[in-house]
Amino acid sequence: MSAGAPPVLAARGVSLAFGTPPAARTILSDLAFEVPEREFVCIVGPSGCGKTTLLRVLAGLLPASAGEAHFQGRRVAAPQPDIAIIFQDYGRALLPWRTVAGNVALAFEARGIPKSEHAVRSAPLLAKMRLAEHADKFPAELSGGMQQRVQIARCLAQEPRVLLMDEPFGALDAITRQTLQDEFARLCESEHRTVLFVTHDLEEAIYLGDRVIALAANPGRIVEIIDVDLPRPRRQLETREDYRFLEYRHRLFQHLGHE
Amino acid sequence: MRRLASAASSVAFLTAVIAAWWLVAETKLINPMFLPGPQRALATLWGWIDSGELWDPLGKTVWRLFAGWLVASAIGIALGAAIASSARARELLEPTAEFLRPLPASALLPPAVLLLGLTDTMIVTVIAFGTVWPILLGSIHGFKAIDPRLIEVARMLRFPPLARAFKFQLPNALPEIFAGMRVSLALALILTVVAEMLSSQPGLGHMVLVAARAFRSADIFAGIFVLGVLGFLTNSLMQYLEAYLLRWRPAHSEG
Repeated sequence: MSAGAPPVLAARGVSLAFGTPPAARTILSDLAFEVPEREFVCIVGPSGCGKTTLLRVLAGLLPASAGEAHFQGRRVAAPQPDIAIIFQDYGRALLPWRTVAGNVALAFEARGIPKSEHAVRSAPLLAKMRLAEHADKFPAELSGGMQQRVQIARCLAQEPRVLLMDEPFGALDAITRQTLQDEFARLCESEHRTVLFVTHDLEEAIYLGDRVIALAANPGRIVEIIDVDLPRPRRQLETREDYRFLEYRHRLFQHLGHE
Repeated sequence: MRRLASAASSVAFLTAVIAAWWLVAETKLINPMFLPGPQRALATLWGWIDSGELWDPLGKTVWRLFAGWLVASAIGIALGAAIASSARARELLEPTAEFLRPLPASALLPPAVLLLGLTDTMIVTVIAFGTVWPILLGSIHGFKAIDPRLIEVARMLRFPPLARAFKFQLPNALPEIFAGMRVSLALALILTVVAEMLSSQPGLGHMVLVAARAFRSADIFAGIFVLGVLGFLTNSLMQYLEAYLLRWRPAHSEG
């Protein structure tokens, strides 16, 4: 964390309302936080707290009604090559008519990388995401976990400075979810990635994050920010049984109520 | 095993139809002047093949059929993309399209002959006009039906509109476009034959018409048989192409 340099990503008083004043509905209310370089920040909140909407504002897909999203000190008004977003619904975010390799190559095409280099560049990504032997398969032939890995590989192929993740493991079964959590956490550790990770799962947020930002709903607002002091690499059993883990869980649980 | 059984039963049915035809002709239930037996029709066909008489009209018919159909496909896909992606294009084109669509293409033959003469261009134009509609509708619907999530993916990767159209919308529309193209292919064969008959341009349609005027019933049936085979082969080719190009579709949504 370098003092002085602007944070990779920042929300500066971001508010968002839909509709016109008398009937307007406030989704996000004056959100302010920063995502420093190399940090894994999780946003946790109940459904309806606007966390997906917030991510879309930060990605440049949706303009804020007030306040600004900043990337490296500059306002985000539109999608940027340095910001990648991983959607929860991997089944809808992949091009079904392209193979695994073809989907990853989409990011290369977007960057104007010549076709002759695609195979060489995608090979290490596919290996990293354990997709090497599935390179020629179509998404419909893959399991949900594998499809999500393809989407992650595609976002990595974009070579972004920051990864935005919208409940990426929420639709997966428990075992696959834990596997992907661990794989992804290791990857971010070893590559020092900057991540903003949205989830409604408290434990997932604490387990993965260096910092957890808790949102409350109606309107979406920050109620607590916790710095997670747990050793890395995290482990599914030990980490979740650590007294600090339980303490964080307890604190966050009070804000978020029961789901 | 099931596929084998169904193939066997369809062959058996076809054989039964031909046998019935043969029986009706043989027992002279219908005057043989009007209905030749299958053996006579096939003998005539063999004569055409043997003398080489068949190839020139067959070639011309196939050429017109594909030229008209491919022109219709290109126009239908492009117009469909425009109508689906721009409200202005929709306002501009849709009323005209709605007026032209119900017109029977065969009714356009006389003015087409007046404007373009008795030419291949005229026939190809009429075929293209008559067969563009199913492709256009498929294209409009296919281009519109893209998942908004994929558009967001395209936005995040900052593809310009043209790249978005070719990388996202066109492949997304392909299943619907193919469905339209398959319907149009059958229409194209009908229109080719009708246009050839009305314009006296050499081709299979003209051959059948001349045979009918001369009461050469075996020639008529031989010609119809060739047209049937042509329809079957073009449709099979289209199905094969479709199965290959759309092989990415999950198995349960096929067909």
